[in-house]
Amino acid sequence: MKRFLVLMTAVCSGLSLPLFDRPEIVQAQTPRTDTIYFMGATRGKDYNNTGVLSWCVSRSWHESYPNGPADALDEVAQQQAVPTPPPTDDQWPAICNSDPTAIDGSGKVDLTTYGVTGPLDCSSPCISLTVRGRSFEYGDGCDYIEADLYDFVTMDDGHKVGEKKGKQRMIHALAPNSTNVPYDLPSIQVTSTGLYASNEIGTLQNDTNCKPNTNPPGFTPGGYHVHHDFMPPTGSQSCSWNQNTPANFPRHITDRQKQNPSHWVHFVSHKPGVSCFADGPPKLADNLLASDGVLDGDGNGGGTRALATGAQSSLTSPQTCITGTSWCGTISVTPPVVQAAFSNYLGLSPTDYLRAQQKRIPPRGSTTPYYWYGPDNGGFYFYVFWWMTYPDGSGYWDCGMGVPGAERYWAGFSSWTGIYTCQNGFISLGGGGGPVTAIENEWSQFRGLNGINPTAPPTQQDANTWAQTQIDSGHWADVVKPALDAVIRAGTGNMDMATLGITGDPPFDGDLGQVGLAGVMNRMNTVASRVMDLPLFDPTRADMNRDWIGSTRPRWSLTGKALR
Amino acid sequence: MLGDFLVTAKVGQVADWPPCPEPRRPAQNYKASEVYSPVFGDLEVYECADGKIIGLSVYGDPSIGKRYFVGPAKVNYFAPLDRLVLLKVAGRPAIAQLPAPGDPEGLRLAVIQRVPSNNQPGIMVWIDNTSKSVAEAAALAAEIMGVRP
Repeated sequence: MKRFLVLMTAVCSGLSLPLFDRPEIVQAQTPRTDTIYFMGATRGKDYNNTGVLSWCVSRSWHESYPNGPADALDEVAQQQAVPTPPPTDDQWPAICNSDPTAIDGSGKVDLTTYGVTGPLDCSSPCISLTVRGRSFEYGDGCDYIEADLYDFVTMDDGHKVGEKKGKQRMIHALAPNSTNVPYDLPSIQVTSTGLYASNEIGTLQNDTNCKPNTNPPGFTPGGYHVHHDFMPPTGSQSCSWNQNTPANFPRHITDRQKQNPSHWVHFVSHKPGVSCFADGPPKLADNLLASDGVLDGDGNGGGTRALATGAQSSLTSPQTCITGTSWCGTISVTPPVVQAAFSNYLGLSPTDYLRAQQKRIPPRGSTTPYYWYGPDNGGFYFYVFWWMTYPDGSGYWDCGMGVPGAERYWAGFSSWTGIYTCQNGFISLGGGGGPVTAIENEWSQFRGLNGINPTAPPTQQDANTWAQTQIDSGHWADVVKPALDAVIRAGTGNMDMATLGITGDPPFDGDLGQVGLAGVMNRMNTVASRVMDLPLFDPTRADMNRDWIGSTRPRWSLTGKALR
Repeated sequence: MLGDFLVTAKVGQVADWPPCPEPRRPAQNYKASEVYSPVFGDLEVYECADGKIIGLSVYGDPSIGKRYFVGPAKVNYFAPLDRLVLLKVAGRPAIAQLPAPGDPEGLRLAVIQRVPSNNQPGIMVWIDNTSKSVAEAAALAAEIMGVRP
């Protein structure tokens, strides 16, 4: 009876379920806005023993690809103080140069960030971005480290995919054991007062095999450098980015200070939990289902019928732009959207369909419940959240399923039918924990409202038959079209569109996917700046280094001009 | 060897470049080069002291390029054999490194547009780390080569 009362309390209190031995779920709040400043990628050098890592610009802002944003800097370490009079161009390499073999670490490459968020959020650090690294060598012999940035709040750690928030890239550098296989890098955190973090991610390379169309002097001693750029996400109401002013990074400038807040190179500003393409899906629905849209085709569902019958394996829209975002391109639609529409017709809500298909696994450290069904369909739900990492000696936990070092999750559910959990036996309300396999097992037993099984959507073949039959019997406008509209419109970003088989060229998440997109890139910056009304940020005025100055490094004055 | 390719699986082991005497100088007419493709758009290009342009690269997303090579068609692909696929792109030998599970942007593709001979270097087109399908990447490679897929 006592447990029953606890369960009732849990149900009545929504997400705050103080059940058993498991982590606390935090109530969803209005998304905050995080701004991540990316500092110099070269390690730099503390040439004057002040604790400040100094670096120089060997080449000012330039493009990495034609007509792209000129947001690349060539960065080198500063080896000594600038003499008087200042060095000539010929003398400059003696002052500023990087050596891949330097034992003082000046040949290292870091991902250094300063993360700040709203004044009322994150008095202690909040994780903002998940970072996935990739390092190897392009087909022309140029070495690289790429750091893909994903929204932490919605990241699917199981499939290692998420909503993109841009990419930091360092060319002529390699990570240890580079194999072109993606790997996890430390996540990026923010605080309301600003948080510095610097993680070594690799080493500058003597990239002599990288020869195409490079600017002299090339990769010779004195010419080694990190080409550091940013590949932005789709610009929108929730995502913007920029680079520092040319005046701060002219060619051959010295004494750029790695820890100086005003010496940031790029920034990205985003709302955790919100896709950069959040505004896109309803507009995609409008476009694709317009009377001349590719799913409609000819006003009677001809496009959808062509997909359903297999007459066409995909439909491609004409070139278009999504208002409110920086995205322009063509839209490709494939049969899974018909499957989703049929599932909706059978009674599974579009959101439930998407979540059940994706089965996102929260990343380590997440406090967000990931709903696979619900949160409230007639009182039924199934959610998963990260609980902890199994500690040493936990091998006997969770009915022997614990694996020290692996992640431990909790599934909370209210199911139409009973679910067997190792902790609580056979229950329909409550939860059970363990590794992913335990969660998957519980999910396979879950049933939603009216006993619906979200784990078993209709087959593509059944969906195709349904669409064809309905359209042929005159029910395009009143049956098929509304179902398609509902599932597309319910999407919250790029991942949902991908689940529906709707993709963009270039991709909706800002991965350009193609080159020569000058218009797209330029619009991205313009739209983002306009939408967000973001001036170039001067962190010194915002007193943004408060956290950092408490560390072992020297303090900056509020003007940022002198060390204290 | 895998088909026409020598898979090296190592950093620093891409196909060898033809000689490129230094110093380099800004190229004026790079769009007339064999290794240029309109897909690349407008570039800032440097040529060797003898006026040759040995390769052009565009570090977008994906990164792509077209380059001369001498000797074996080395590719530094690093994957189990079941993720290395030999194919033809517009009739030319090609190799794809398929993405690993959980790596949607991991596709790499290289195409030998011209096999090197005694009197001229080979030409290779490469595409790295794309979320495109093999067919889409092959179509892009064909476009870079200036031929129909």
